[in-house]
Amino acid sequence: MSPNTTRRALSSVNLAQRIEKGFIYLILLSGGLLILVPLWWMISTSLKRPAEVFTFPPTFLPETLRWQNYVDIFEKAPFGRYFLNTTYVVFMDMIGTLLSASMVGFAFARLRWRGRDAFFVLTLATMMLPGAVTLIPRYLIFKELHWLDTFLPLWVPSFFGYPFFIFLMRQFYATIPYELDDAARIDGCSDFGVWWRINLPLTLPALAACGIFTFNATWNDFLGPLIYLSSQNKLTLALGLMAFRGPHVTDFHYLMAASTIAMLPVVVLFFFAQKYFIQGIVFTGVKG
Amino acid sequence: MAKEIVAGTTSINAPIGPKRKAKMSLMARREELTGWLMAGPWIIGFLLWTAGPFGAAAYLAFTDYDILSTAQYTGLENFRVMLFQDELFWVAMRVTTVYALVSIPLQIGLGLFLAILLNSRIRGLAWLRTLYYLPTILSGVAVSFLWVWVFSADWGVLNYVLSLVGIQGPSWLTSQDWALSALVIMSLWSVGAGLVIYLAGLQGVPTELYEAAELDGAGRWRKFWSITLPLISPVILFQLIIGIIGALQTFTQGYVMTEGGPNNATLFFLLYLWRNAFKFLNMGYASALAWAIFAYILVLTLIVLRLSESWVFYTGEIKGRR
Amino acid sequence: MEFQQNGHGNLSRRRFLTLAASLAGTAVLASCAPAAPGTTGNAPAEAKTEISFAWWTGGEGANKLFEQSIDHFEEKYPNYTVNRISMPYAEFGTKLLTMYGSGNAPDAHGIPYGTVWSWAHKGVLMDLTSLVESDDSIDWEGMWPAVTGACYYQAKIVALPRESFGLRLYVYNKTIFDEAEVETLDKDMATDNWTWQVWREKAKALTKFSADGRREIMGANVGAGYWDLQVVMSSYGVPMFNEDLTHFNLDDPKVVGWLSMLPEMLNEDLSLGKPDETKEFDWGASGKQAISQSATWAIPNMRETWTDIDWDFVPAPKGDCCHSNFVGCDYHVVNGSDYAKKDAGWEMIKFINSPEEDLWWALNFFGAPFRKSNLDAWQSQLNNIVPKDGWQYMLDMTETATPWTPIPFQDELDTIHNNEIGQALSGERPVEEVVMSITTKVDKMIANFK
Repeated sequence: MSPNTTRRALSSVNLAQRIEKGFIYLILLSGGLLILVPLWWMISTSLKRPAEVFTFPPTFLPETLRWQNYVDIFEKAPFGRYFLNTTYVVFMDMIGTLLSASMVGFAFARLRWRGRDAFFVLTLATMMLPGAVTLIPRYLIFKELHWLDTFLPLWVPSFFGYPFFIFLMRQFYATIPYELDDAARIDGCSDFGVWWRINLPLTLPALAACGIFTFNATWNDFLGPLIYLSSQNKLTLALGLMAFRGPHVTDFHYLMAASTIAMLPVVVLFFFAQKYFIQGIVFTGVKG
Repeated sequence: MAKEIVAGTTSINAPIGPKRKAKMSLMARREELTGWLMAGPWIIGFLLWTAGPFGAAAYLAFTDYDILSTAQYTGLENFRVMLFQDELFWVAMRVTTVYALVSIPLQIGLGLFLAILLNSRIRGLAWLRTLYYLPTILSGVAVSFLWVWVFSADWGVLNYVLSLVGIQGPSWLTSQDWALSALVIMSLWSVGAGLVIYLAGLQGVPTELYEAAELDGAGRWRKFWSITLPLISPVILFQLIIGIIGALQTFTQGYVMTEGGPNNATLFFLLYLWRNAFKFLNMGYASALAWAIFAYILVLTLIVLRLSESWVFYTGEIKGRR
Repeated sequence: MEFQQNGHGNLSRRRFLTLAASLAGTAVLASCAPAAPGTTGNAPAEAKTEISFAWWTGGEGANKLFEQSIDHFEEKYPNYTVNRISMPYAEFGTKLLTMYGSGNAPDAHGIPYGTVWSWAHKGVLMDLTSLVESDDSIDWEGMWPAVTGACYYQAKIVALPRESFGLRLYVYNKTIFDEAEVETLDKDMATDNWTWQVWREKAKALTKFSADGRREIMGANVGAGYWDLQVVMSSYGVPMFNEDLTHFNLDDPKVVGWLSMLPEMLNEDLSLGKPDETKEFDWGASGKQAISQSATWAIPNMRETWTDIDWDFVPAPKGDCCHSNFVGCDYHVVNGSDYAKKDAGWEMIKFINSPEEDLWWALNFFGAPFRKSNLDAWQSQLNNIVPKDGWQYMLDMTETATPWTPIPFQDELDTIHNNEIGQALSGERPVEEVVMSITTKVDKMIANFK
């Protein structure tokens, strides 16, 4: 091919790529806009005076920025304390879940043991019974253990495994070729070692997904803290947020301010967890 | 029976090579032990705080229990009332099923589409992904307030956008015909929730495969259909099953936004259950309801698992074919 | 499942199963046993007694006020320490029920108005009658009859009042009235001409539209929930239920007539707010609503939010009977279970009910005092902030206020009623059809109610 033809061929490929990218941007940004609108309203409400909150139609820009709201909420309730409590519970929960889900998921995915399949169906089945009817019996168990009004019921079960994450990790293990396992075993690796040394490192994106999910779910969980925690200084953020709704009056400006603050850690975590999701971090595989 | 159902969903039913066969008895026993040990924490946990409450919930379904006094055994009375006397049971089943039928395919389709877009080589990827994930993080109360406004008949964003194309929007949340659709739309806002999982799945597809396919002249659609989809099918299966389990147990939207109305148009099953348990103090009846939805979800899941054999692809099978 | 005869695994498996069986059995037994006697024994008389007290939080930093009130109690009674349990209002029922169901409920706690019957019906509240009658410091007759009337269950006193509210008020924006040159409502009230008909006419006259057809000033708002209908029905002299509590009187022609007015106001007059417009958004506070339905509990909040508005208030309009007036109250109760520290609980709620604490609550919280003796002090301290004339109506009517009809099936009624009433309001379905649907279902529910 002559240089000119080549150049023209390449530039038409370039143009196609650019159009494609532009199209992608268009879709993503318009969708993103739909997401931004309610979010923007939430943040702007957090900076409004009480009188301004209730205008109809709703306004997007407060007349004056009332940063005071963000200071006031710490007086209404010990939000600093709630923040610490929630961080502690979430932290323990994440460790527990990552350890247990990866280990148990591996057992379900890659090892052969009697009763495995029946147990797997049982694992799934535990997600199918609505929690409302097991709430009181569970509460009773923790009462017998004298764990009421402590953080224990909130994170200890995570070290034993939650079915959602076990299922998730199991599916991810199933995408890893079995040849690696065999190769390792032939080299004398124990089953446990196959997990720890071979499979686990390959599931980093899945682990990151688990971590983010757990963080988010636990950070916002209110039902568990509601029934297990009673002391003022033990409450979590989600409970603290609910406290702004009274039987008659809801302080929307404070509620939005507190919600914005409560939202930040998860956002930051997600943003920085991105590196586990960047294309290219894939195993180079075993050839043949 | 479990074995057959689960059979197609793992990678370790591949034929075993000659070297393994020889050492099978010793290795198999060790593997069995390790299997139990590694699954041990889950089994212990199950016995500690899941089995008991499940058993209690099973017993309570046959009683009349108002939480504040002892449970009275009533046999099959709850189930009789549920199936033959209670119209709202069927209403709730219908509402929940319709919601699931519509929202699950949308969530999976849209979620996957989004994940693929957010997996391409464009600038500001981290920001865009964070943006789409944000709705999942926002707490319930703040969100419900926002959506009341979005769905407002005269002032809401949605009807405003529709009016730009000449459509007069309905009164969404306060209309018997449109309330459920409004909640479906609302659920799409947090389609980014599955994003994390799809992205993790997409990361697991080896880039060499794409490169090899390109060299063979495969186009984008071919690459997607023959490489991407099969290799992330385990993840899609996960989303499907979780989607079923989740959609049939939808609660928050009905609870916070519509309280099941108007005229039971959004009476989600779990909302109906919750009411019976904690509002009307019919915990016995609520337990019976719980087992009804449990059976429903379980049957659906087993069907999906069984059918998944034909479309889910496990990398382990590559070896078998060579 | 077959069991492999593998020495190591066999032992642990059997242990699992035994443990599982015993745990499951314990859990099942525990879940259906009545409230077990408390494992925490009562402290000896010399040491401090710890009692647990639960309340719910609300807007305006209610939490802090409760903390302070309990501090007052601990100061006055140094031999008690209070284990403070606060619950968000939205889910406090769930938490309280869970605690009762597990034999773990607090010694004393609050309950919202209208729920006295439900709690007492289940037998968990302590009978306070003899304690109230024998205690000279409690002036039972000095509290509003409407408030004390609701403390009874089968002729026994089971609760003490705390911060009353609910006097139905109709707040009006004087500026809007002046600009539209419509006579303000206090004049209607003075000539005994403040009726529902007048309310409708004025709402229509005060509604204004901007150039592009959007509503700029909303005439009025109203609710049609169970609580709102109490006000309406009593203004027509119609009781909520018939004498033997077997029929819901929603289908009374006068009530249906009133309800039929609403879709017309909404869709023809265009003077009422649509449900999704007014559910969370307060047109009144933004100065865009002429007449707003309100209550005494909103007054302190309005101090903060209605700062730019010139407003006053009148009672709810009257039908052909009278201006109806209701006084509601939240309550404090003592846990009647065996394991509860009932004496201590009684001391606690008695303290919060005392005149000094009552006034303190009324001034700092969001309600009116529930005894006559505190009214002057309260009024004088609030008068310099809110308009004076409106208070006169309220004071005049407080003593004759009537209680909400206490019924045991409050929750069930609310659920059935709220499910469909909105459709009558919006005109989605004919009013008569909705009313019949609701009354049929409610009557059936009452008949089947245990």
